Amino acid sequence: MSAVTTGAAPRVALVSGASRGLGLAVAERLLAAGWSVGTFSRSSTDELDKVLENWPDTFSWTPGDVAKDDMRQHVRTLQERFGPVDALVNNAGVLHQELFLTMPEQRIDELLAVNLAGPARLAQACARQMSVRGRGVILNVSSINSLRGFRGVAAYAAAKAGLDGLTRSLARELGPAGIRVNSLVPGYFETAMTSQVTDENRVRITRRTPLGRLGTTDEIARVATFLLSDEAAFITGQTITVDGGLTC
Amino acid sequence: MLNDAHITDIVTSAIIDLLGDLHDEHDDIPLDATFAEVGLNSLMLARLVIALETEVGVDPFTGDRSIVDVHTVRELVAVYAEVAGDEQSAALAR
Ligand SMILES: NC(=O)c1ccc[n+]([C@@H]2O[C@H](COP(=O)([O-])OP(=O)(O)OC[C@H]3O[C@@H](n4cnc5c(N)ncnc54)[C@H](OP(=O)(O)O)[C@@H]3O)[C@@H](O)[C@H]2O)c1
Repeated sequence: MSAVTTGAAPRVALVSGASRGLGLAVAERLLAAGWSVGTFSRSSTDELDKVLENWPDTFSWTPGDVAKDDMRQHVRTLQERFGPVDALVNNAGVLHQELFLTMPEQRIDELLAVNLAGPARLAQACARQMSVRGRGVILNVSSINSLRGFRGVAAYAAAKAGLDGLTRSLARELGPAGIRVNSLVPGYFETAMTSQVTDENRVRITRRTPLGRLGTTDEIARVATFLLSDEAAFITGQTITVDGGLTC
Repeated sequence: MLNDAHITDIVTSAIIDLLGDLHDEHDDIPLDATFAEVGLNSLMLARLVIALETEVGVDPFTGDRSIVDVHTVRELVAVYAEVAGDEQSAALAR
């Protein structure tokens, strides 16, 4: 864990959607490394409650919706509890699979709101606070759907590709303010989100992946915490793909 | 109550803080100067707006109004005076 703690006093992270899956795994790694972590999601889970019990002084959860809430308010709430934010992990996201031809317009709007517009507003709220102190790091959790075409995920893919565009331009804009911005681009890994992948598709994905399997949540979380750490101090504006070689 | 003179003070002090060593302590901030003439680049201007949100308690640039339409220190003061006035009228009405 030394990679996450190098050379610094305890730090503060906001991880959106850390009630389960990747967000919770990243939060746990940061907590174990001495960070304070705030998160929000629409609902809580038993696994979240357990982690909250283990870290009562340094982990906090509030109900919240990245598509609808005032993101500046979430950042202010975090600041009041733990101090100014050093790191944002823009992790909250939803996947809905359906052919674009028949997808209700409202669903397209929702997917873009949760996976792109909300995260962009959250990045702005955090970057404003980070720019005052001249340091910070933002990690946008994208997806390999932003790099390659896949049937049934057009709106999700558009949002994630938008997030990668946001990453590159923000890195240019915020680099001079001491803020790094990267996209983490995971392939498929086992969480509630991938439980909707059919067995047939799972076999297909495995066959097309050079490493011959899906990833684990921990394998993705490790790269996330590396990118947040000072070990990655010279990495910004990049999309870092962690997919067992699926897109190579 | 924040009056215009008070807001001018808040804005010019925030600019002086941001300029740091770039500002000659004997000089006042000329109100009709453009931000570039004062020595603020676009990133510093953004940081000024963020600092003023804390000082004044409002960010006038969240709705239709955009910072790119504001060119001088005086125009910036006028924007804050307007929103601070709106906030106070709203508070009195409550
Ligand atoms: N799993 C994969 O294979 C995979 C692959 C590529 C990329 N990703 C990306 O990785 C990230 C994490 O995915 P995961 O697999 O860990 O998914 P997950 O297990 O479904 O967790 C998603 C988290 O986001 C929260 N969330 C969803 N909608 C939200 C909203 N509107 N406002 C606030 N929070 C919201 C969820 O809580 P609530 O539902 O209670 O709000 C939950 O905490 C996502 O951005 C996803 O797109 C995942």
